[in-house]
Amino acid sequence: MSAQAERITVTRRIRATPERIYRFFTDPVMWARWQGTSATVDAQPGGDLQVVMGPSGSGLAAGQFVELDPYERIVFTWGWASSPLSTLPPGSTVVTVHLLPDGDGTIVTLTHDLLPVAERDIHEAGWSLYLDRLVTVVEGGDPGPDPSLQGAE
Amino acid sequence: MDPIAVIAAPRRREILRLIWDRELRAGDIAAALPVTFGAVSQHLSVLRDAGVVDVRHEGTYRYYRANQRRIGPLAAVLEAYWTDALDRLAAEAEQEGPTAT
Repeated sequence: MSAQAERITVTRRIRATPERIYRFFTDPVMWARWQGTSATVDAQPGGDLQVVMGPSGSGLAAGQFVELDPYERIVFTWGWASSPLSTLPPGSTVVTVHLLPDGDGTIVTLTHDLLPVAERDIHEAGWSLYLDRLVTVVEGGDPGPDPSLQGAE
Repeated sequence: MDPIAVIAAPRRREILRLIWDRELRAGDIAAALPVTFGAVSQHLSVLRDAGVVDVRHEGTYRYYRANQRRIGPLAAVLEAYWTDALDRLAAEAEQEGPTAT
């Protein structure tokens, strides 16, 4: 991993305030509206983050919150307690979400650090999918059920 | 400082590993790594500023040690990296086999 640690960055603009978007990363019910089917979100440093994914719940993303700067930045660790697609150990990588006001909207930048090369593409595709869903949900739309892990279970 | 900036630098991860559960002087750390004393000193100052390394003064020496409590959930990230790096080293050593010299 030393010579192979990878960083991916996914950016989206959302027509909403950072205050509104922040809640989608700090409340379990709101989190599960854009990712997974249910979530445990204990939004404080050291608090657990778990997201159940897949139609039959075969995926369980697991990590902990590292830092929360209200309406600006959320840092959490990320990995998988179980997954048909990834062998990333729970809490073994770091995700940073930055919220930057931009006129009547917010630029959301998600950076995922220290990914092994073999895990890079799947996580980049995943976060792209999920930030698209986040845009839809925050702007008042319905993204439908989370399609991730369908066919992989 | 951004916690990611602390642990995303490979050299800083190596330093944290050396002082994870013991105290070392900067000179001992520099001797264990292929870098200059000055470079180690700079990394230690970044780690201290971030609060993830404690320093203890004794006479003219300074002893450094990781502050595991402050590192918090990032400890799992560091440990995964260290385990993986160790596994890789072990695999490489096995591939090379015993040397004849």
